[in-house]
Amino acid sequence: MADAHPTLIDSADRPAVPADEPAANEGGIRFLARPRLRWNLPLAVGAAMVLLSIVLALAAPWLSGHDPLEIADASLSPPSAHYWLGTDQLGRDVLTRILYAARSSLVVACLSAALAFASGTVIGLSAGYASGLVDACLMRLLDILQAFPALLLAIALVAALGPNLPNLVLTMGLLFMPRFARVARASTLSVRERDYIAAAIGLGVSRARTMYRHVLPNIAAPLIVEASLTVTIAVLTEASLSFLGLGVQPPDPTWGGMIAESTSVMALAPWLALSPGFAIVFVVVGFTLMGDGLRDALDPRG
Amino acid sequence: MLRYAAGRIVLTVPVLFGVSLMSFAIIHLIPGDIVSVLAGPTVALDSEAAQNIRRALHLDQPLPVQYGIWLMGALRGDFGNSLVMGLPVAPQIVSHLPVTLVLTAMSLLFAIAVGLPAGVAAAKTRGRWPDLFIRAVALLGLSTPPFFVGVAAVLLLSLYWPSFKILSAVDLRHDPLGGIRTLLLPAFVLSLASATTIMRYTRAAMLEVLTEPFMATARAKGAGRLRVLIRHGLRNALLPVVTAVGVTAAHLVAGAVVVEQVFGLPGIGQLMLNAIYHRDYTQVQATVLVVTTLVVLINIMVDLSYYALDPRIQQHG
Repeated sequence: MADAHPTLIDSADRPAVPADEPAANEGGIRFLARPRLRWNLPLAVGAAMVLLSIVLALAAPWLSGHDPLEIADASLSPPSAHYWLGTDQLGRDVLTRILYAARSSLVVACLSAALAFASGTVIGLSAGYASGLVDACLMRLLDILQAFPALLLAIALVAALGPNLPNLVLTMGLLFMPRFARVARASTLSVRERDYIAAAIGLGVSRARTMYRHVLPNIAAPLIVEASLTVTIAVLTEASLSFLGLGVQPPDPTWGGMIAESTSVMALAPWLALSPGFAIVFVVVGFTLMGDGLRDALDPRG
Repeated sequence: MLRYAAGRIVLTVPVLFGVSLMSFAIIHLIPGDIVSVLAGPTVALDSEAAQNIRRALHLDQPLPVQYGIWLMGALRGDFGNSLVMGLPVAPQIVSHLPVTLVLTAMSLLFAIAVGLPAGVAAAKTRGRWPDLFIRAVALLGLSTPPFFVGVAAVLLLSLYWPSFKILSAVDLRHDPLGGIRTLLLPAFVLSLASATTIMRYTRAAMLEVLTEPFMATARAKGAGRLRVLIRHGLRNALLPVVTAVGVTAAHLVAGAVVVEQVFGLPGIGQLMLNAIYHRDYTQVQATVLVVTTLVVLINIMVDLSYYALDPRIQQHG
């Protein structure tokens, strides 16, 4: 049976471990595994793209001479030296709005992934470590959550709760939580059979401490990879929701919202739809490359 | 086979129960007093309109009873009445479902038609330029939201091919061929992400099969290259691909909601978004329940076809 999550990178393309390098986690001697990060091209390119997006989003007020809500006299002006990407139908600078939209998009995506990471890890770790009835009940709950087409449930929940930033984070965090719970549970199941866990229990380490100090560090790598890939889905989900008018509300800019607004003036200003779309693709490609690269860089099987 | 199928279906009952519970909960997640939210702030709470909403949702009953009434109705195909129109919501779903189903099925066909050969080709030429090219395109396909592909496609076609009719009415019952023609472009747009998923699964499965000794044996006994690749390789790599089809089914249905909005198609997505804009939450919860149940049923069928395709599962359980 093939890998459950095939990636764009082959496992066989992975660089071989140099023979003199000690394996990160050999036997039961080291309790805290610190896998060495082996940089590879997708990881470097992806990390650079992600870093660039974050810097541009943070530096938006200094990079742009305009305000995202400032209305100039020239509406729908084509790209020029003054308005690099032109202006929209209200005369707002498109480049400025794209930079500010990056903030809400990245905040929603990263916070919801972080929320899913934290809650999913706790649930998956507990389920995997406790096993038995607790495990079975928690897994059935995840089955229910994952039975829904994610975007459909997101639309319904955000519509009911009200479209604003905290509700977006809460809804998407809940939707992405099962991904982390399953990864954490599967990894916990394999780690708990290791000698060093038996050793920790034998030494009288408490259950909570065993889970936190000895299991968690050893299941961290696949969870970090999952986090990077979850951010890509979160960015795409946020974009879809804001395209449907269920994201952060106007006048605050969102990439999806900008594309939706552009469709009414498409014949007059075709450039309006393209730039926010490319912004989405850039961020998602960055996080995807980073996630795929991390998968190889952190792979304990390496 | 029967025992396996029965077991699989029994396992689904608690999931569907949970799904119905969550769909029911949607309406109670609305912050504040439901009646004043639905009826609007200007309507007095003891007015006729407010009373109608209370009666329609059985709000005078305790929550478990409300859920019981709703679920019993849903099992009979009665999902309550629209809060806006006052008419039953079920016929609305029935009339909007065909467009979404045809759109999804066409997208799935496109996705398989593109993803399967691309995956085989990428595996066969692994590490060389066709493989790198296919993977680069796949990365872009997975990273581009379908609504943006749709908007960009509409934009390009209207600029360079003005005679192409993009937005026309879809009436599958009276003009099925015309409807399908109109759905071609939306289905293609929707298929991109799924094609990528199917490509990835096919490529991974083929890479594994290509190293199997039986491939060398087939080649050694003199079978042609293509025949070995398809008859011996692809046939053995198909199982994970069936999984991919199951995985993408849910994505396609959810993606259809957004793509329908781009092309103005009268499907489930349009029904649901209109209901949301009009605060018609009985329609929303019914739509979520029906669509999710459909996806769950599709996944059962994928599991059962797994059983039919893989003799190893039949032996072990």
